[in-house]
Amino acid sequence: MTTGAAVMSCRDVSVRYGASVALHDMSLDMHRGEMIGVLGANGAGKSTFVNALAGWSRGAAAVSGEISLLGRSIARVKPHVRFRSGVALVSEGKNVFGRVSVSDHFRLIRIPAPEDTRFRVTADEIFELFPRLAERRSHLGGQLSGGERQMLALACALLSCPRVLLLDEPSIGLAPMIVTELLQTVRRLVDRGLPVLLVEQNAEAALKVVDRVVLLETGRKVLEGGREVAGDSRIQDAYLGKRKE
Amino acid sequence: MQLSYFLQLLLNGTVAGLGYALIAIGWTILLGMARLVNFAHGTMYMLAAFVTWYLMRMQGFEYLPAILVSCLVLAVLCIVMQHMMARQIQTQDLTSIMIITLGISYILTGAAGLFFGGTPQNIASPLRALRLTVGDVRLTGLDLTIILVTLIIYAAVWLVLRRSRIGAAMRALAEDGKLAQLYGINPALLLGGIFAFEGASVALAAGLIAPRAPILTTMGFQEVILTFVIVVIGGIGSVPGALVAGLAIGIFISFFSALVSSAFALSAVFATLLVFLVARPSGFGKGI
Repeated sequence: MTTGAAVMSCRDVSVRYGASVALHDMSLDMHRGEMIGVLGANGAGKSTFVNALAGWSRGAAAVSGEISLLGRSIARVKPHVRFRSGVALVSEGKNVFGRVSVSDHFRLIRIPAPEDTRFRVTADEIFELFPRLAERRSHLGGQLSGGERQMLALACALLSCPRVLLLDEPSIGLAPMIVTELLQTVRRLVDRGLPVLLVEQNAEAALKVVDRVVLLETGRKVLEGGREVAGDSRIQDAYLGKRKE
Repeated sequence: MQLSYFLQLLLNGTVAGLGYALIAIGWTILLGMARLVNFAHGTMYMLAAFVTWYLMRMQGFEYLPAILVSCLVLAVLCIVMQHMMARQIQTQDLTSIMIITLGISYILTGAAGLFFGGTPQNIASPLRALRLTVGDVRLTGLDLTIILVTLIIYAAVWLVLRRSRIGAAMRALAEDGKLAQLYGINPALLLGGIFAFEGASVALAAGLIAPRAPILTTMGFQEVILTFVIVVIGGIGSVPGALVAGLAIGIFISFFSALVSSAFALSAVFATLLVFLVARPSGFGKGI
């Protein structure tokens, strides 16, 4: 259930890599207790969008447009400062440190002072959510399985008491059962008020948990709506494999 | 060989080796954490020695405050260097960084020659006058200070790296600086701290080691080469490895100089380095 004004907003966000435009004029609002699924094929601009919200990129991305958190512009704020302000991104691919132990990953996170607008999760709750991590506290990130790494990255993001959580392709490389379990865990966090933006190629899994869907094609938003848009032919054809004869 | 002579050589080698290790700690951290090199390291050692000498001789500072101010000056110099090389650091352009730091080294040597002159100078450490004798083995208060300070600095660095948030952040930075940003780490600030530590630690080393012999503005080359050997043999980025490598090289040079020839001691060190690089390219320590 969404409540109140937008926690995070973006207006006309575009991203360029040199001369090539990867994302065109993207606008979106995120509310408390809402989970938005960003769907699209490879190269549609999903990761580019979510990285732009976090101010982060592995390449040389030039971002334009307005991004705000609780009404305050963060468009020119560096990624580590956005993280501390409450924008937590669990990036696609490598998102934990292979040579840093699980407990040291937690040590990296500076827990902010209590505040109403932040989603507070204690270390004990983290271990309740992800009991495997408790057993593997002394293991290095590189010794964990793919699912455990996703859990660790998510746990660190939650420990930072985020205002919004951005998840980029958390299902990649994971067994279907683990994907379901992970997304259900995230859904429970959303139901407690945490706004989540979920970038996902696995549309079927995503559509089971999201409240709203945004469909991207070649860097442009082509569809936005509630879960009912799953019935749209573009989603049915391209992402759910239910091509009409 | 008499036992007392053997013990004296061992002690001399230990003091020299721990001294080398103290000079090398900053570069070990710089290379291990930031994957960067600084070929001005030896010149910074020279500069720190002269700053200490200048403060004591010309400004009337006591020995310890002079070393502390020298640490501060060198820390600031290293931060300035970090900002000068910001673009190359960001892109990990090691060739340019190597050339820039070599250039800085030559500029600093020239500037030091102009400012401090070409005459050899002595840093009058009060610790040199303290003499300790155990049986036939002798050492000065300065020697004992080098041993203790080096061991304390290495233990402190190891503890910080292994047990603190900043240590975890430095290891994260060493592995993936981009990803570290998503954990709230400010890479530029952390790098500034690493550069400042490099400058301050080499200044501390200069303050303790340089009083053992006359100082010249042309010195520094041997220090940078020995530091490089220690960092490589110790296992790039390994703190315990650098300590053991420094100690081993110091003891090796001490015995080689006394029993074979002091003229060929450095050549023998390099021969050992070559053997090491062939037999064990990663050194004998584990990286940070």
